[in-house]
Amino acid sequence: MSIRRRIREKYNSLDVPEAEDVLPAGAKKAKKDKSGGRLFAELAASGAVIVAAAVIIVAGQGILQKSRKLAPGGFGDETTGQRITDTVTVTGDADSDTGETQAVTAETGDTQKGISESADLTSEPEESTTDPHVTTSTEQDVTTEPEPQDSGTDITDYDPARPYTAFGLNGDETISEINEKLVGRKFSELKSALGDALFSVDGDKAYEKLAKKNWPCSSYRGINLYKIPYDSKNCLNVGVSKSDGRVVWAYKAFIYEDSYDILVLRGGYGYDEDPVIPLTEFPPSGTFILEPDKEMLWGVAGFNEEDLSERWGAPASDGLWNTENGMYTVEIIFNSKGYAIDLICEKSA
Amino acid sequence: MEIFSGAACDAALKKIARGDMSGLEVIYDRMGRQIYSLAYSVLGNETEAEDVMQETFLKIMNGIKTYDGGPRASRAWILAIANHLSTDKLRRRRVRAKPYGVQTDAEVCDSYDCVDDRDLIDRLISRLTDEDRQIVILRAVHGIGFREIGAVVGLSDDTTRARYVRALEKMKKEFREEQKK
Repeated sequence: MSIRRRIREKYNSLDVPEAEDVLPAGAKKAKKDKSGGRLFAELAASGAVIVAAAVIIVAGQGILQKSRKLAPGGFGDETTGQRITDTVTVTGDADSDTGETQAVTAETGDTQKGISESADLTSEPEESTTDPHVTTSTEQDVTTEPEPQDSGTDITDYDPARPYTAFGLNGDETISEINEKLVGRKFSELKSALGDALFSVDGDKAYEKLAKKNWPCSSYRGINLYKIPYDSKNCLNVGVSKSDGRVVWAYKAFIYEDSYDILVLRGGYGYDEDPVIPLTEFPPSGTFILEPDKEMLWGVAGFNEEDLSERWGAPASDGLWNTENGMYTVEIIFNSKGYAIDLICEKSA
Repeated sequence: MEIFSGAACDAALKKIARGDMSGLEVIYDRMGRQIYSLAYSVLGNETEAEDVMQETFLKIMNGIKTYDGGPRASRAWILAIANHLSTDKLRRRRVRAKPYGVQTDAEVCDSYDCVDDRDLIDRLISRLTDEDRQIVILRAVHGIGFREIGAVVGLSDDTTRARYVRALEKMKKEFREEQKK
């Protein structure tokens, strides 16, 4: 375990004083109390949330109908440019303990019910490769054309409000916090909490596609990749080990078409102003400015240190890369399984 | 990791300036851990860190008229208050005791509530300079940008970055040595 991780663990374990103990009189929050009137008030408030969520869903549907292309791991397939409105891969009948996918394909117009009745089970148990430093010596033959059908998954029923009550997620967490809440959980927990909200992609197939583009992302191997709703613009990509059925990593992935094949430098939680750069051009050439508040970067989440070292050379320090031109410093945050879950990119002065 | 944008923080502070104290709650919810761990990193003592946290909120409330930051400086303004209060407290304590620099591990353990080897990280952190300790905590624990940390501790972002890398390297080296013992 790295020093930084040890420091984080130490400081995240500190008990922060209750608000009522530190806020001045007049600004103090009431102690958490689940009894009587307070509970009633909370229930009433949650009703308001449900109504608000319903409004979001209705509004969201219109957007999703226009942007349903979704790629494995949040990366798109520029080769096929496959749109899921033509051919869809739907799952959801995964084994509740191992997370084993039972993928089926169907033509446009098939209903999910109809698909499940004529399911063609395609996945087989495979050896786990959840070791973050898995080697690529046994990689698939990347010259084979990937199946065009598995470039996406149907998110027609995507419900941005669904996860807000699951696992304590509230739509406002950092990637690290999401990982803290999800890593190690059994797939059956995900399944029972989220039910039909789960959409899955076979990690090995996703890996094949990425490898074909010379993007080795070994963390996808030996896992089933699940997408669960998170907020109106993100789903969570959750890797579940095929061998033990437990969550090994999770990260946010955009659900929109324009998020394909790019790294997005985020500005707070507003996406409109995000500068984007093609993954292949990373590290960036210095054509845009990174503000201190605009340093969150998704897109390499799920890679392990070996993958990143191959791409950028060895890190200068623990998870800290200096780019070739010295203009940027990139710090990777790895989760306990060794997979990148967050990335901070800063422009040197 | 950063979850509270500068704009949201600025909005909360402006609320307080208008007399709406719910802004303090927002800051507690979103930055409470940062404030507390920054104070703890300086003082190494939970009780004193809690005192600093309390004083920080008081100071935000009473000194809000001096805030003229905006989104880019809002969080740094709050963290700087916590930082000044912490270092003041530390300075007062050092009048009565030896500075960290000449403390033995056992003495450091006293001030850092050490129990056993699980607190090795605490000991290593305590051996850093005050500034380096703050930089490491704000960066490694909270993912705050170097420029913003620099504004809190009064250094340029490049210097802050270099100090961070060096401090981590130092801790790593000492950690290995401690483990060999």
